[in-house]
This record gives sequence, structure tokens and C-alpha cells, in this order.
Amino acid sequence: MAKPDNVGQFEQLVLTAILSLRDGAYGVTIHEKVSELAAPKPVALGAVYVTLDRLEDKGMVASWLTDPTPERGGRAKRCYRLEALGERALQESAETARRIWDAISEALGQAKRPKWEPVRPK
Amino acid sequence: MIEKLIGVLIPPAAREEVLGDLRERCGDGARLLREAARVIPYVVASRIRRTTDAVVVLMQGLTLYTCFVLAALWMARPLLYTDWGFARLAIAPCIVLATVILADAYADPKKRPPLRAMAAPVLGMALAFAAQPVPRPLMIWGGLIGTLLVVMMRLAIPPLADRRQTARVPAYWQKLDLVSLKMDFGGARLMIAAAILLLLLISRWFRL
Repeated sequence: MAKPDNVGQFEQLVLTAILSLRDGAYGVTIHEKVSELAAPKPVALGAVYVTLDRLEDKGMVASWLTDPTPERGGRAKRCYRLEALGERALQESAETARRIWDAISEALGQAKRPKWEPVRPK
Repeated sequence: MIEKLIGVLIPPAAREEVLGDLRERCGDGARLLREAARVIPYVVASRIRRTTDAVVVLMQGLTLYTCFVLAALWMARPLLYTDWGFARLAIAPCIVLATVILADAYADPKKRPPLRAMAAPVLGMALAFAAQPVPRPLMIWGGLIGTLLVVMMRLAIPPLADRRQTARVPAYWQKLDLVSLKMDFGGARLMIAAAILLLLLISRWFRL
């Protein structure tokens, strides 16, 4: 099985947005979701495009063009979906984040806090 | 009108979806223009990253520069003795390379005109001629031979988007990799920076 490339924090945000949006993941909705996840930091739409291209080149997401719609001036959307490699990269990132969270909780003596368990949406 | 103008500035490979997204987010008018001004540089940069093969561009740059240096040695040796003489010789290759990189980024992946490999270097050299960074005879000989060699290189190693693919994978995966030369990206950047510094030093202080 191919080992996924390391993904950066912004790439994790974009992958998470695609995962949660499912079939409705395209430029505008992904940007909105990423902005929501990255709040209060502002997110540029252009940065989302660059990251989507990079993730596609890494084989973590796949894209396709839909039919044109009138609200977009008769232009098509490019929709994205997560590939197996992207899902695995996201899982690994979530596990790393969990380990970091555990280590921080332990170091700060906040062991009473509920343990964060990332749950994969069905 | 504004939308058409913005459409021209977006590389054709991403035009449909980017323009659609901008229209959906901003509607029509000044807001569309402001948002486009923020988004387009990212889209162009991303397209350049996808269509540019750094190793091939480096080879083309060195070929062009060598042609101009040899032409100068042959026809305008005094130019090499002047301050920044070697650096002046690098201006025309830089203009050609910038044109080639942008032309590849703005190439329409759906259309593959047979003369694409030739058109970008010729256009770049025409722009360099218009800028005239070195004397005319030097431009003619250095430019002519350099353009010819670059066109041949582009025919032998076509632009990334035009390369034949045997599997449904991104064209980007066919990029030549500096790692295979036992050189990481940081090392390559260091070498390029050292080469530019050396060129400037030679240009400033070296007198034949």
C-alpha cells in the first residue's frame, strides 16, 4: 500500500472540509468550510485553489466538472472528493493530533478533561 | 465586460470553475474585480507550479545563456570587460524563460497546436529583441541559435501538459525530479543562488 505524503495544517483543513461536505464540495463551499474551521484566521480563496491543486497532484483528492448552472453565469463547478490516500493521510493527521492533545493534557495536569477521540463520519 | 476581462487573465485550464466561483460569491461589478485581483495571482502561480518542470527550465536557461556568452566572445568581446557585462547577457534568457513559463501556464490543455513548442520561445525572443538588453548583432546570433536549441529541447522534452500519458494520473507526476540527481530542493536552490552570485561577481570584477 502506498504511503501517503505528509500533509500540512492547511491541507488537513481542506481535506477535512471535503470530507464533511461530501458531494457538495467545490471551490466556494470548501472555502466557506475551511474559513469556519480556521476561524478567526482569514482564509484566501486563492490559497484554497492552490491547495486543492496540490492535493490533486498528490493523488489525495479527485475532481470533476459538473453541468453549468445559471447562478454561476452558465459556468460549471469543479467538485472534489477524497481518495483513499487522502483519507489515510487525514486519519494519520488525526491520530497525531490526538497524541499531541494527550501529551499536552498530561503535561498541564488536565487529565480530567474528556479524551478527544476523532470520529470518522459515516 | 468585466467578466470577460477577468476570464482572459485566468489560465484556461482553471477558467471555468474559478470564474464560476467568483460569480457565485461576488455577483457582478466592483466586488468581482476586487476578489479576482486577489485570486488570480494564486491561480496563475498554481498553474505555473503544475506546468513547469524546473529541471527542463534550468537546462533551457543555461543553453540560452551559453549561446549569448559564446556570441559575445565571438562578436562583442569588449562587452564582457564592462561592469555587469555577464549580467547583461542574462537579461534576454530571463525574458525568454519568463515568456515560456507563462505561455505554458496559459496554454489551453484541450487544444494542442503543433507549433506550441516553437511559439513560446520565438515570442520570448521577440520580446527580448524589443527590450534590446545587448547590442543588436549579439541579439541576432545569440538569440537565433539559443531559440533554435530551446525549440529543439521543447520538441524532445515537450511541456508537461503535452506529454504522452500511459495512465490516468496528473501530468505533474511526470516531472523530472532533482532528487534523482541526489540533490534535494534546498540544495538546488542553494546551487542556483551560488551560480547567480558567481555570475554577478564575475560580471562586476572579472576582467579578461
